[in-house]
Amino acid sequence: MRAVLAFCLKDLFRSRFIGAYFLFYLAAGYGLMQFATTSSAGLGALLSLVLFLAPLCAIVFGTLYFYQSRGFQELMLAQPVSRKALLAGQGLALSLALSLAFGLGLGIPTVAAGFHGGADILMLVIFLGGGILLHLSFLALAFLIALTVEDRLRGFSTSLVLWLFMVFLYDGGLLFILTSFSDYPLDRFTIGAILLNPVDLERILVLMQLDASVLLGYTGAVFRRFFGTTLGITTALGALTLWVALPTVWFFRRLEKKDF
Amino acid sequence: MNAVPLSVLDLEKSYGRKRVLRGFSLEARPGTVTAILGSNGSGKSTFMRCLLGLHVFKTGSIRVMGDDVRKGPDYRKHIGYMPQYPGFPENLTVREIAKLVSQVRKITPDFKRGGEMGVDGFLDQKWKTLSGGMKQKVNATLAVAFDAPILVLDEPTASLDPASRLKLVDLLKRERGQGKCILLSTHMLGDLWELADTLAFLREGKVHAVPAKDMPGMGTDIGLFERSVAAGLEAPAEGPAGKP
Repeated sequence: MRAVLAFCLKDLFRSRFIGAYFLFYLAAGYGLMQFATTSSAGLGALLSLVLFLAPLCAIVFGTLYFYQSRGFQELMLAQPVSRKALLAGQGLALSLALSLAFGLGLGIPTVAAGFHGGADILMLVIFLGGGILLHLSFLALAFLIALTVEDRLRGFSTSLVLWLFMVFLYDGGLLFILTSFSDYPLDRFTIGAILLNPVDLERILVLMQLDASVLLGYTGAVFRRFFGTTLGITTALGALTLWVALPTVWFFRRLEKKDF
Repeated sequence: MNAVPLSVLDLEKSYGRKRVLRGFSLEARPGTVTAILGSNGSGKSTFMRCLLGLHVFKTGSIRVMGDDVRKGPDYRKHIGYMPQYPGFPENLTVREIAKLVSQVRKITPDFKRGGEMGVDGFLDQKWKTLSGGMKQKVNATLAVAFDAPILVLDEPTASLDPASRLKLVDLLKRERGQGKCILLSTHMLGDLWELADTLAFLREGKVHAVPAKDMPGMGTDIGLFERSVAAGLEAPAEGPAGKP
């Protein structure tokens, strides 16, 4: 696996996409931090960008990468290497490349803007760490889709629909339920529903650190009571990690039965 | 060591309800070229993919140098593979690709074995800058460089110019002379004329093997030989190899 990881990483670091992804976040980070009235407002604006872009780039690039490397996978699987080792090497290389591009691209401007002391460190760790987990989760989903759906066009469409659902439709549906049943106590349901969407998890985690919960009214108070505590943060990060682990386990289970 | 490098017994493979291989059996010996022939969709690729571990099968057995292919990927160190459409990470150079494959195989390649393919001239070029023919030359060199006793070749000459094709044919003849067991899938009947020792016709999922020397025209009239092979592809499942 180490050889596959090392050479795939070398290939990815030379690719234009990874370079462009890093530079985009670097420019956006400096730009938004420069023009925001406060650094918290800047981070809030960056959060909106990350929640929209990170899942999209991870799922699109992950799906395309898997399909484009089918020839390589077939050739390498004819060598004395197991399916698990090959795909783990490829997946790990892609995860590292995207995480580094994202982490450094946004880490450098946010640290430069003053997020490097006391409570800011926790906020930055949650913001960047959550963002990286978000990338990994959507990469795992992308690999799972590309492995399951043989037809590239259908696989690519499935990835886009999943992204659309997670980023827009899920929240729309949740909001509809909360509005329709506003007379009922929905605190637990809401928290449970948030745990079921990695994009919402990252959003709530960072918003709680930014003290933006006051803007969310009663719901914000409920979120603060849960996600503002150490237990809540740990639960949310655990749920985000599960969003990486479950598709990954599912992927490797399917991999053993796959006809390449 | 097993005297038969490759032995396939009663192999079955289905895609859903469609049975592609139905009791496929084949033995390939050292120092021979066995051509796998069949019309489109007859199961040639399916068999090769089962052999390489790309397809999962439940019924039958494939043994490579005595090892059951379902017991893990180690047996593939005995196979040099040349696919029709080679794919490597596009930003790696040919030298890096060779290094990757040699690290995975845990053996140093001997590029002198495929020297006539001329890969030396573009070792430091990135994969994405190579033409289809150049990629196929790299592929051919990698397939033979590890001195594997079995070579599996899928349409090896399809993207090559006439001069490179002849070089590859000569290279394969030399490998055969050195005792390699070569499995060849091709639609280029001229390649069969020059290389094949056994023609394994795939009909309705089963193999009908015929010594190439028994085909009409073999060694005397290439036109007649090609028509015989073409007729053999269309012959009924239980019938003999075709005659023009």
